[in-house]
Amino acid sequence: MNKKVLAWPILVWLTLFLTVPLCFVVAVSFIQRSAYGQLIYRFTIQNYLRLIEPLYIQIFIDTLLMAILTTIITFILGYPLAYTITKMNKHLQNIWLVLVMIPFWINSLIRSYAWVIILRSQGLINTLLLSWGIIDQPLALLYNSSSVLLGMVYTQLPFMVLPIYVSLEQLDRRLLEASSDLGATPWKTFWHITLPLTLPGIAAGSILVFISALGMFVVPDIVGGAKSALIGNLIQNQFLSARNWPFGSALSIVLSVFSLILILLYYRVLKVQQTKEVKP
Amino acid sequence: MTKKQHVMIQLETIEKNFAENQVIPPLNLSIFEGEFLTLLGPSGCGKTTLLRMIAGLEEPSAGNIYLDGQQVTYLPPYKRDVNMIFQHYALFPHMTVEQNILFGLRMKKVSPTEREKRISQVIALTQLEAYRQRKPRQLSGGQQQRVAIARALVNNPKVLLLDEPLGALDYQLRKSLQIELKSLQRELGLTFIYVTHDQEEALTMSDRIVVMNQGKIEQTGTPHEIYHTPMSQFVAGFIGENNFIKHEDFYISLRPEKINLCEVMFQGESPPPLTDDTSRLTGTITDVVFYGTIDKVFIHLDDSGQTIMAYQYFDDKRRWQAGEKVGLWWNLKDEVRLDR
Ligand SMILES: Nc1ncnc2c1ncn2[C@@H]1O[C@H](COP(=O)(O)OP(=O)(O)OP(=O)(O)O)[C@@H](O)[C@H]1O
Ligand SMILES: [Mg+2]
Repeated sequence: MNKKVLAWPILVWLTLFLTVPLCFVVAVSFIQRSAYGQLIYRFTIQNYLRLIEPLYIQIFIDTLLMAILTTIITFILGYPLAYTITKMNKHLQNIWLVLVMIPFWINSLIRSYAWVIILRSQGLINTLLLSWGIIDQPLALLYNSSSVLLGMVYTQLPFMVLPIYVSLEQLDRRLLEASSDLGATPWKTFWHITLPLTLPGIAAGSILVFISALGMFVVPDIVGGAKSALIGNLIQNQFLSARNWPFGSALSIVLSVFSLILILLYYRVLKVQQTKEVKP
Repeated sequence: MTKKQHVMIQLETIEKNFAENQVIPPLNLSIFEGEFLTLLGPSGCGKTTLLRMIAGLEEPSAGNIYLDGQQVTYLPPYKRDVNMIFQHYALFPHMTVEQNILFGLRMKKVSPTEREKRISQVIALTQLEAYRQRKPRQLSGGQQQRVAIARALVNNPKVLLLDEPLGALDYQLRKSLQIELKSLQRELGLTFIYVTHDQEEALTMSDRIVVMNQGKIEQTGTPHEIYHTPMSQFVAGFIGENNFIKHEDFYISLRPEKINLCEVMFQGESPPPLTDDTSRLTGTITDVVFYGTIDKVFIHLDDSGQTIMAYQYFDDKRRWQAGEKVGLWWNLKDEVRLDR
């Protein structure tokens, strides 16, 4: 009873701000538009067919690659970071968690411009390297896929660190002691006990990072410059500059469905793991 | 105990402090090969801490630990030839029973044929054949306990450390596993260091009992010695039931089962001892409480005003009632004089 009452505001919220807009987007993705960008309410699937053009397929592949790379790199950086944090005393742990989360609280626009200041040709790194005489020409650090990757990894790192941190925290220390007692060196204990038992955290972090990397547009726009073309930027362009709402909607829907499938797969895997362990 | 015994573990002025708090003051103890030694004591007295230092999971603040003659004080757990059975089993949840048991052998790079041989042995011993492929959470408490035992035994450790291994089980299961563990230990000739705060468990299973109190060893001895000749009030009171009779500067402890009840012959006057080697008192029964095969009879002593407890057995002909006058006597040799 009580739970149902509590659920109402959430339902209303979701309906108003998620379901209704989503229905609009779905609807718009199936209609046409005039040469000047006005919507013409006539059914078409042209917007979806356009997606198979090589140009868009390429963008989609680039985006996927970028998201995969971002996920892998945030994992490689995030796991040791989370691991180190769990080894600290409680006080230091809290400080570090706040440090990890600070990017959450700063507008992503500001964060991206901060990277521009660091990376551009008269930026922090180039100025330093030049003044030390290590290079005599500024390096092109900005406006390429490496800088986009850097920006993405930077913004996504907390999403990887936090779930991993939680699963490491929940890990039963006695299992590590048992492993050591049974003759496993610290490295083997990590490999056979810690890593497998924190897989749920790794999976959650990876899904979060991967999906938000797929849809990201602010970072690639600013750090990647005009040339960067990921799905997020493409969608943004369709709505803002190209004024092709129907095509933009179709792109959004495809991206959302793709993300949804990933999330469902994730839950499916979790569930299979759990049911496997239920008493026969 | 005739042959000269080989010392398997020697604790030499071992000491442990957590921050300012001294949990174990300097302590010496030798544990012999093939012995079933029990650490018995109230909660928080440092039993687990002692065990963890032997396992290498905790570093002593001072002192030395020798395992089979070799100094191991600062050796990490994975380099010590001892295995521990944890109070809550600590089975690896993501591994099957078989993988759990094989873990130690895999870590020590034992050859697959040898592994197969050893696992079949312990699985037969612990009767886990039917559960080989199950995950720990698909097992009952008793089965998990067996897996924990098998996982430790399969390594043939020099010493097996057991931290209240039966603590989480119900009474029936405890009883049957106690018997299984004891016969296992005897058959394989293993050295067991067993932690419990259940005195009955300690008395029935051990070759030797170490009674601990606040990190100190109160007394070490066979169950018989600990029970019949306690050396301190703490030991006398902690193990079994006991009466303390205060004299000027010492106490006499007297087990209730040693006290015989009889009719009072001269009302109001305490009768003299029957013979030289018995002692005799009178009192008034304040309460009789039913305990199954026995009744506990509480008696208010006439001369000193202390209360003493004696047993009456279910087949005793004379049934004592609260309010009655009663005489009590015992053999002087059953008195234990306690100086502390
Ligand atoms: N890591 C620790 N830090 C600080 N104090 C500790 C630590 N571990 C144990 N202690 C303290 O040491 C004392 C002995 O603890 P220990 O766990 O050895 O008791 P125990 O005899 O095993 O008790 P129980 O029968 O309840 O298991 C306790 O007072 C406990 O609070
Ligand atoms: Mg304990």
